[in-house]
This record gives sequence, C-alpha cells and structure tokens, in this order.
Amino acid sequence: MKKTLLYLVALLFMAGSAFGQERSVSGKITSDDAPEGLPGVNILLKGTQIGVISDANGEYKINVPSDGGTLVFTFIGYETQEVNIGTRSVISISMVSDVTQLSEVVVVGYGTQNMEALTGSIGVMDAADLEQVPMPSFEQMLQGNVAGLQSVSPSGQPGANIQIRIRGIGSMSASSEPLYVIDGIPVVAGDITGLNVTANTLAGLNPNDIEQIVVLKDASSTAIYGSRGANGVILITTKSGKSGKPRIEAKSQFGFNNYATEPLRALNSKEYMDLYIEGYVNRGDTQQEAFDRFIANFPDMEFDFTNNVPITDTNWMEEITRTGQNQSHDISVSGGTDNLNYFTSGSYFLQESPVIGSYLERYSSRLKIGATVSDRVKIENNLYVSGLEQAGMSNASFWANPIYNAILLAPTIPVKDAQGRFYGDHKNYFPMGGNNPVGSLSGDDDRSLKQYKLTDNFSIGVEIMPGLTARTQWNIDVVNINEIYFRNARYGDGRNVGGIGRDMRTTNINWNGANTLTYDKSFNNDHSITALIGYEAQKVTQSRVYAQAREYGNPELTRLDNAALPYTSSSNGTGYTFVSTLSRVTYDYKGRYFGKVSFRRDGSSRFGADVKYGNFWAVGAGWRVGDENFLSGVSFLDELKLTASYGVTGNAQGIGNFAAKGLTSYGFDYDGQPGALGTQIANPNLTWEQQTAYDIGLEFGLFNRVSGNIDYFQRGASEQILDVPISRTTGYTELTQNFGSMVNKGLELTMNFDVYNANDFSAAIGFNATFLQNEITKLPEEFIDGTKIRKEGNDFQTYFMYDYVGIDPTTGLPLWYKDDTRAETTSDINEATQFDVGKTATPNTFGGINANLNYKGISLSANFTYSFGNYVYYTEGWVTMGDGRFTPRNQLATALDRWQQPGDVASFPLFTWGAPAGANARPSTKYLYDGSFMRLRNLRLSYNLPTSITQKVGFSNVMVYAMIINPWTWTKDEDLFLDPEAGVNGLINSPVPALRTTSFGINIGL
Amino acid sequence: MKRITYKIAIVFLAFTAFSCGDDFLDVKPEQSVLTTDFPSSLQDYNAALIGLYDQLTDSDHYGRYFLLVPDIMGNDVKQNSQANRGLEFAEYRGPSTHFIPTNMWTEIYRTVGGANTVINGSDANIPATVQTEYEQLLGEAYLIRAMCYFDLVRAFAQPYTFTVDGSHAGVPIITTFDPAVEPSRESVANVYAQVISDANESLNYMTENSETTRLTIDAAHALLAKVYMFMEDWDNAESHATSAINGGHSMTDQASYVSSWQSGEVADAIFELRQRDDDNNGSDALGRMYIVEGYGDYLPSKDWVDLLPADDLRRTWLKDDLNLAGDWAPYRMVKYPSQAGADNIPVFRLAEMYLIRAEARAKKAAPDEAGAQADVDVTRLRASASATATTATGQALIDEIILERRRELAFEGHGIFDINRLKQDMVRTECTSITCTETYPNSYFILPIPQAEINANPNIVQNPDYGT
Repeated sequence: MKKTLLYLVALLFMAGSAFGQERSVSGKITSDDAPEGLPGVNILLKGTQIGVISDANGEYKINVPSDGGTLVFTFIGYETQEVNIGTRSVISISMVSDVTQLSEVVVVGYGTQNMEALTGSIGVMDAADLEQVPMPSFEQMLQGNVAGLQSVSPSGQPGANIQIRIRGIGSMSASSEPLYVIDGIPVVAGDITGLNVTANTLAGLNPNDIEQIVVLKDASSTAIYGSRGANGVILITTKSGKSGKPRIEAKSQFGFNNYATEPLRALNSKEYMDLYIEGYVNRGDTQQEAFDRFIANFPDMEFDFTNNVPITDTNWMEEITRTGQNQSHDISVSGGTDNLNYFTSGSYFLQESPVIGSYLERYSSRLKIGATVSDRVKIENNLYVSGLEQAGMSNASFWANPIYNAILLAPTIPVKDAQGRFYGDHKNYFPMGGNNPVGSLSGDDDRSLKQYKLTDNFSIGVEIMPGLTARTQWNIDVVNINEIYFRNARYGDGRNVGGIGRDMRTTNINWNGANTLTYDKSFNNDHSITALIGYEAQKVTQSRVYAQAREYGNPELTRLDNAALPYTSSSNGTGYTFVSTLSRVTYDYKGRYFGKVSFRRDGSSRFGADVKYGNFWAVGAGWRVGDENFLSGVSFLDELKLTASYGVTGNAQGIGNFAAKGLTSYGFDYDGQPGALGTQIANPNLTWEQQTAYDIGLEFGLFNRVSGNIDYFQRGASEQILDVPISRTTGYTELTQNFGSMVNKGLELTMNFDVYNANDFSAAIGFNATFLQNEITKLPEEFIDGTKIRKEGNDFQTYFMYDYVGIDPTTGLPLWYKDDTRAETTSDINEATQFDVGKTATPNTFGGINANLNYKGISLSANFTYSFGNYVYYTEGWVTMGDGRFTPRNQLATALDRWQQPGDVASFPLFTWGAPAGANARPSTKYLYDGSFMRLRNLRLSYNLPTSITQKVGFSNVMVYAMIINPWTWTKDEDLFLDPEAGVNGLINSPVPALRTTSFGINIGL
Repeated sequence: MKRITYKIAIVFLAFTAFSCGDDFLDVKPEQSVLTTDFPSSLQDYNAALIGLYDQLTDSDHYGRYFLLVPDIMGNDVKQNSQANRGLEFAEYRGPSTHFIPTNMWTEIYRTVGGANTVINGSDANIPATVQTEYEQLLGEAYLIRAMCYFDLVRAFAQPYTFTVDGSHAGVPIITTFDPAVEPSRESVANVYAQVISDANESLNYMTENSETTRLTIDAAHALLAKVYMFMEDWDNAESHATSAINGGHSMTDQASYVSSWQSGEVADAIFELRQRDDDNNGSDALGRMYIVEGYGDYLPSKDWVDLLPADDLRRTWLKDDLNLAGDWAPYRMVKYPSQAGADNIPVFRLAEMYLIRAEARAKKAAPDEAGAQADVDVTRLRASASATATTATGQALIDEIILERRRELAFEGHGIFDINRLKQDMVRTECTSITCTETYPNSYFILPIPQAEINANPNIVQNPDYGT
C-alpha cells in the first residue's frame, strides 16, 4: 500500500513533463506610501502554485499560460487585488493599504493557507520581532507574544533549555513540549546532552534566518501532524530570496549582561562567625568553646584577635560575578532572477553570562537556492551549518554548581592559597569536597560543549497539470555534540583520584522524507478546494561514545590522553521511526464559508506490538459573518469571523524509544565481568496519548482601529502515559501504562488598538491574556510526586506539603499545621501531616502586553510578560536558610532573621548546628512563594535614518537602536527574593538567574 | 526542458523505490535484550548472576547503606558535625519517605527479582556437559535470594525472638514475577523459613568452595550460622559455623592482618564483594562516608575506641585528624581506606564464624565454655600481642564474646542488629548526638516500610510508630 503510493507520486512526476504553451507578464507595483515601487508583493497566478514576488523596485515578471488567467496581488497590510490578464503583457497596479485586512499567507504544514480562510487557531510571529533580539534561541522570544503559549526558562544560563507549553500541560509524564518543524522537518528539540545539565539543541538555529514562526494550537491546525500534534506545533520557515536586485543587510549589536534581579547575598565573615558561634552555643557549648571551635575550624583564616573579627572575608557570589558581554553580527544577501532566487547569511552570536567563565557562542551560515528549472518544475535546496560553544554550565543542588556553593562556602575560606593557586585545602575541614567556584570557573575545571548542526532540505515541486502539484522533500538534520567535563586533581570532585576527565560525543541523525500531492481548484468563482495527500517517513538515530580517565599529570591538559588511568569507556545507540500517510481537504465558498478536514495515520517503532498504528483527524469550519448582507449596514464592523474545530490528535513525544518492550540490560558489571538485569516491564499495549480538543474562536475588527481574537478551547488528554507506581517487591518501581485523563480549558484573548495614527505619529498597544485551568479528571490512584500530589479533581501541579505557620515566639521552633483542617499547630513535624495546600505551579493567567510609539523615524516599543496565580518553591531553602542542619555551611543573609530569645518574632527558627528540631528537611510551605510577576521583557528605542541621509552614503536604509531585556520586574510576593521565572513545575533550584541584557545595534540595508 | 524534468522524475523514482520496507518500524534496542528471551544459555545465566553480584554491591545494599545504617544507629560510630545523609536514622527520627529505607527496600527486592529470574528460568538449552556450571550458578542465585530476605527481615522487621513464635510482621515473600502483585507481609517466622529453605537449596546445587568474591558452600553455611544465631537455635548455629570454619577458606594471620585491610582486601573473607579500581561505587562507597578524603560524615565513637587495648592491631583503623575539633576529635576511621572507593566489602568472614560459634557454645542448652573461650580467643589473641587467653565463664564469657564482636566486626554493619537481637538498650556513653539512649524494645530499632511501597500497595502495613 505504502509503496504503491510512492510509485504513484513518482509517476505523477513523469506526467508533469507534459507542458502547455506560455508567455510572460511584467509590471510595476506601487502604493500611496511607496510611489517609487513596493517590494515584496506576492503575485500569484490564480488557481496555481505559480507565483513571484516584486523586487526592490516593485517590479515583477511572471510566466502565464498563453490564454491568460487571473493574477492575484497580495501583500500584508494591503487589500488583495485580482486582475484578469486577458491579452496584456504589462500590468502595473497600485496597492491600497487596508488596516483591517487579515489576509496573509501562512505556512500550515505541508502547504500554505490564507489566514482569512483558517478554521483553527494559530499564532504568528514575523521576522521583524525575531531579528537581533539578544537571546540565543527563538523560543525565548515567543514569551508573551502568542496567546496561549507559555514559554519559560528555569535558568538564565546562556543556552539553557526552554520549556514551551501551548494551552497548558498536555501530558502528566510524557512530553508536553510542542513539535518543532523547521522548513518541513520535524526536528529533534530540547536537551540531548549527556554530561551537561541544560542545553538547548534549538539554540543552534540562527533566529535572524527566520522569516516566520507559526504556532498551531487547535486540533484543526495540528491534526495533520497526527500522533505528534497534541501539544501544538511550532512551524519555523526560514528566509528565501525574492527576485530583484541583490539585497544586502548587515546587522551588528553589542551589549552587556547582568542579572535581572539582585544576586543572592550570603553572610559575610562577621555575620557568619556570630551565627557559627550561636549554632554551637545552642547545642550546648559555652561561648568560649564555640569561639575556639570557630578559630580551630578555619586554619587558613586571617583573624584579628584584638577586635575579635575575621579578616578573611570572601564574598564568593561577588567573586564569580562579572558583567558579561553580548554580541550579535549578521550579514545576509538575497535576491534572484526569474529562474533563480537565493538567500545566504552568515552570523556570529556571543552571550556571556554574568557568571565568570560561562558563555554561549554561535556561528552559522545558510544558503538557500530555488531554481525554476522549467516553468513547471521548481527545485530548492536549503543548507544550514552552525557551530555552538557553551561553557560553565551549572545546575541544581550539586556541590559543583557554583551558584549553589557560592552561597554555602564559608566566607572565612580564602579564594587563593599561599602559592597563589585557587584555594582547595578546605577539602580537609569543610564539607562539599573543597569546591572552589572561582577556581573552577577560572579554568581549573572545564564543563563545556560544542554543538555542530547541519541541516539540509532538498525539494522538487512539479506542476503536473494546472492546479495539481506534486512535491517531494528530503531532509537531513545532523546534530553533533562534544561534551567535556573536567574536574581538577586538587579540589572538588576530582581531588581523590588525580583529576577526572570525561568526554562524550553524541551524534543525532534525523532523516525525513515526504511526498505530497496538492490539488487546487476553483469552480464558478465561488467554490475553491485544496486537497492534499501525502506520505512521510522519518528515522531518528542517536549514538554516543563516552570515556572517562583519571590521574592527570598536567592541570592544563584536560584531554583524556594526558591521564594515566583510563577509567571507563562506553558507547550506545538508540532510535525511532515514524511512517505516516496524511490528507487534508480545505474548502472555501465565496471567501465567506470555510471548511477543513484532515486525517493522518501514523505508525511508530515506539508503539507497543499490539497497537502499531493510530488514526488522527480533525474537522474545522469558519464563517466570515461580517461579510454577510445582514451586517453590511454595520459600518464600524471591519471584520467578524467565527471558527470552530474539533479533532483527535496524539502525543507520541516523550515515550521512551523502547518503552513498550520488556528489557534486560547489560552494564551491571561485577569484578570485570559483564552482567545483565531486568530493567523494564513489557507493555505491548503501550501507545500514544490521545487528545480530543475543540476550539471556538471569534475574530473581529472594529472602527478601523481595534482588532482581536477570542478563543475558547478545551483539550481533553486521555490514555496518559504514566509510570504507575507498583509494589516495589516486584523488583520494579513502576509500570509504564496508558491511563489517566486530564483536561486543559481556557480562554485566549488578543486585542490590538491603533490608538493614534497620523502621518508622523502613531501609537499602538496590544495585549494577550490566557486564562487557563488544568484538572486531572481520571486517575485510579492518587500519587505523590516530589512536592506535588497528582489527584483527580486537582490541578496537575498542586503542591503537597507540610503547611508552615511561623516561628513559635516562645520556643523558637517552627510551627506546622497538624492537618488540612488547619485547626491545630505543632512544633513536632512528626505530629503534622503533608497535605494539599491548595496552591499550584500553574498560572491562572499569563500573557503579554506590547506597546509601540512611532514618530517619524523614531520608534519606542515595550513588551511585557506576566504570569499570575502560580506558586514557586525554592527547593534549596532548607539548606541555604535553614535551621543549622548543614554544619557548618554558610547561609543566605535572609537567614539572619532567626529566633534568638523568647519573645522574638522571627522568620527562621532557633539556629542550632545539626538542627535537632529536624523539621526543615521536608517540603513545606515555608519555602513556597506566590510566583506572580510582571516583567518588562524588552524595551527598545530605534531610529530609522531618513533616506535623504542614508542615500548619500549609499545605503538604502540605516537603523540604530538601543534595547534592554528584562529591565524591570515586579513580583507580587514581597518575600520572594529569587528571580520569579521558574520552570513549568514551579521549582527553583539555584539556577543562574534571568539575565538583563543592555545592547546597542545598527542595521544597514544596501 | 522536458528532458530535464523527465530525468528528475527518474531520479526520484529511484529515491523513493528503496525507502521504507515493512521492517522500518521494527527498531531494535542496542543496549538490551528482550526479557522474554532471557536467560536461556549458560552465558545468559552467567550474565544474570554477574548482574546479581553487581546488585549486591549497590550503595543501597552492601555497597554502602546496609553496612552503614546499622552502625550509625548503634554506638560504635558517631556522627561528624556535618553529617547529613544518615542523620535521621542516627538520631532515631527517620521518616518513611527517607531515601535510605526507600532505596534499600527497592534495590534488595530488585535483586530478589533477578534471583527469581534465574531460579525460575528454563534449563532446556543447557547441555549436559555444562550442567555442573549451571547448577553452581543456580545455587548462587538461591543463596543470594536467601541473603536478600535475611537482610530485608532484619532491616524492616523486629528480630526473630521479638515474639515467642516469630509471628510478628516480617516482609513480603516474592518467588515469581507478577507486575500486579500487591503482597502483604509474611510473618518473621515464615521469612526465616524461606531463608533457610533457599540456603539449603543452594547447598544442593553448589560445588565451588574456594572463591571469596563469589558465593560458595562455605558462604551458605555462614549465612545459615548467622540465621540460626538470630533465631537463638544454638545447636544449628554451632554446626553451620563449624562447617564454614572447616571449609575451603582460611583465617588471615597476625602478620598480614593489618596490611590486608590497608590494601582493600577483607581479612578472613568467606565472601567479600570485589570492588576494582574501575568498578566500584566511587564516591558512594562505604569507606568514603568515613574517610576525610570522602564525605567524612562518620567517626569512630569514643565508646568503641575505649574497647581496644593500647596495642590492639585494630587501632590501625584509627587515624589522627588534627582538623577535628571538640567532641569530634581526634580520630577518623580508615578500615576502608581507598580514596577511590575500591575496598572490597565484607559480607561473611571466618572471624565472625568463630564468634558465632563462641556465642552458640556459650549459650546452648549444655554450654561448651572451653570451646567458646577458644573460639573467642582466635581474634582476641591475633589482635593483641599482650592479650592473654580468656578465662571468663558464664555471663562474663558471653559479655566478652559480645564485646569481641564489637571490636572485630566493627563498621561491618552489625551495630543495631546485634543490640536488637540481644535485647539490649542502645547506649552512647560518650555521646555527641542528640540521641544518647534508646531502650529495648524499640520501634525505631528497625526501619520504616518505605512510603512509596505503602502508597502503591494497599496490603502492606507500616511498622508501629512510623505513622500509617
């Protein structure tokens, strides 16, 4: 069956070699505001895929059949015009601007569609919003700009992975990330590193190369992606050349990076000494004993015995902090002739973190060439190569995380030793293995990666007969990652083994081929139909080589060859495949009524033996009510359109490649011999998660000034893949099963106002808001997952904790509610219970606000992003501002507000080393904060130099600008001293805080 | 133009023709085999056994916590100021959500599951020529299962003699794989019966008796001696200890006793788990919980140090550390000195067999005190040149045997197990902890059933005083 289809497509190519007679039409397109010529206008021969774009002078030339036809002229912001060619060979027109016009051609997956004909819900971001934003990856720029899309980054580490949720969390334990499709390839996204902690494969893509990002949200839009459409789809289209003379654009930017919020402050030496002594006195020491203990504890501390204060006073946080540099340079050339168009670019990007030794650097180049081989055959090749370097990664509550150990290392430990080396002797008297974050980040250690990415798409399109186009596309996407993880021999993790070097190479190959057949047909001017059928196959393989060595001879030479002891080496491989057939029919009646049906059948190697194939489908309808006669008298109504869609999609992302199989794995070695052990229980019924979603949308334009969308959506996720906890006496902890359901419902609202618009001055403001509700609707047994409880009727991210009341002023011990009635309190945590505290990590509302002011060539724009109603949990609070459990680690300055004597009203309990009260170790609301925040994401001031000036120096346009990322942040909870941007799960575990980037740039067009 | 298009079409015909056969969706794992096919050959059985040994070295079993936790709950070990990982259990307030009981339970049952796979596996593909090798492997699997249940029932249930008939709650017994099982706890008596049955079964199959890093006939006798000691079945304890003593293993002599430990070898080993330079728990190793180059969280207690005569060879396990201050000074414990975690792990030692037999001979219905004195002197006289032969009798002899157990077997995971079995109070005389005395009987002498098990298995009942 599958093969038959392939042959059919191939045969159709051959059929395409029959051609009709043809001639060409040319002309010039102008408009009121561009009398010299309007570039970039789409000119399409109606009912065909034949189209060109006007060049820099507004001129175009298109091949048409000898018997003429109709040319359709479209351009964003202008009314579409249709002109009957007749026998003319020159057609010049003037485009009329149309502020309410919503028509824009967008990529919708395996094709394009007019925006006005959409039956579902999508979000669009264009090049202008993506270029030269001083962030490494494009997903970060989506935040606050697309209704329903939540983009969060739990770390400000350059190149950190970004989490995207479209219309809420789609899966309890599989992936909730959308599918990313770049120029037609479903790509491998997320973090695929093995040694490092947070890296983002997509940071390898140069955002300046992106023409448009389309976010597919509802079932009608995503069903064409079948078993991978459930969490939404993000389609990225890269830039193409347009016919006309070469356009050269050069963009350059410099800036610097700091933290968006105040860095955390740990105690200084004097404060630390006082707390140290207090911690021992509370344990039973006399003041003198505790003091002697302090002096004895830090042999290399300089101390002023006259005034009884330490002289050594290391501010570890300050020592690892700097002002980082930011740079972005990009040059592109594009253009084309009738038969050939090209786009090529080269770029360099650097982001240095405010943490010393930590940065991301990327260089890339792209070449895209389209050739019209004959008037019915088009070939395109799009080649992209990039290199990415990242260094200084840090993470979570590991001693090796510099952000974390800079808090906990005593300030009485010096940074350098008597020999001028970074100090490491505290390995003998202070816990945490003698980590020295300053030395570690200054080159004593190495934690870095290099990622090389190579992507190529090759396609051939053949117009077999008018309206019928066959297209075949072959893609390969190769990601190669080299990771180094070196720990020096003197201190830290490598101290006892002569230094540790680890080297890992990962190669990820994504091969994808798709053949489609598209038929466009209009009948009687009123009916138009587009039908698509296709076949797609994909294979992704990943292979890894890893080696570790110890006993290094020279601290400068960190490669494994320089070590005396080869320690371990290994290699492994994994992969998955998808085979799919797909189809879609869209129907348009009078440009007023729209219908769409899509169907896809997916098979995947990931699915269990009994459920290899799944069917996914959706229907959608649209009605431009505003065009009906009965509303023709309503003069203020520019546009009114209703859409509705319903469909079933799947989520096969995040299922392990072999999750359905019962596995016995090797690697359980003993005494140099290979051993094997069962590692996974078989489940032949394991398959994709199912999602049934509907969407009702209303699109409107009023008074030529106001436009907007309202969408109500509901996503019902069922057959959730869960690692269901089973009795551990089975030898396993969980069984991966399809069970459980969850629903996300909500409202998306987008509004744009043209506040004022005159020749020289314009002001516009827009906002979007998403109101989201998540509920687990079916879960046979509730279960506790860390700080959360998963329970029917609850939000998925509901916190389950001990509820902290405060400090008992009489005893200095923390008080907890005994149970969820909150009637009684106790200072013995063993008498208290953990319960659903009624707070979740899911925001009630999130979105963004955009404002623009333009005066002559000057424009000022501000983007805000916000999130309300979500709670964040500081997972390291019990260590960094605890009750003394972690002897004798330093504490945050906030911990100074502790109870010292009866009557004290304090935030923290009696401080005793070893913490005999022992209450801090459990998840409690003490470290739970209201995470509601609003952040000015991007403030930008730019100036377009007048043409009169630029032309004197030979440039067609010059723009200069200044921009600040994250200049201002408001948090609702005054006690929240951490950066409020947490991951989707609300947990903050000593990440690099979000960055504030201040940059200045210039864009030059030639 | 027409010809170009035609050629392209031909090329694409070729492209598409060789894509995607029916086996395109059949991707095979590269690091695993399907469990349905495993184990079948002798090679598979060998790999399965190696996997089980690897499991025994897991840091949640003998690799670290099963030897550490009983000691930090006892009185031979004290916590350093910074101790963190075992803090709750050393201070008798460990919650059922704590990772130590959770992982210990999980990993030991995982080993049981692996042993079941071997025991229940088919021998259809085992040729007669390798039947002996196969049976040795099968015997080792039985013995590993016996050891696992013995460890589970000691860690998670009160000792055998806690009730007169051992009818109090033990642990679930699983002998076949069923992913849906939600077992309840068997009585302690039943679990002991299972241990004895598995150990006896292992003796029916095993033929090897010289290895120290693999299980042997002597190891089965060692286990049985220990099991009967816990049951206070002194005749059987004595007879199995004797079998182990007279088997294929030998005592380390006085001259090489110190260097044996220093080189990472277990002295008097009947069964030690090998930890090679390149295959060990690394920073998760037991020794690194004690040594300053590791976490240095635990120190030898003054109570224990005071048990040793000045010239006792076991004082070589102590090392001065000038950085230790106050109550924590002056010693580190270096019985397992490897910085890389490459010390072998003691599981069964001949020294223990002598001490079990000494206790059995002193306590059995018709005591053999001369035999007991001779047995206890084996380690006493080896450790100290100035020591003289024991002359104690009656309770004094028993006390001396118990003290010698503490001296010789310290830091090998006997602490709270011995205290609890002997129905003693846990007393830390030179106490640095907030918990200095815990009296017998005591709910906290055993670990809580992990909350994760209780959440997933409605039939399991928590130990008293650990909540519900």
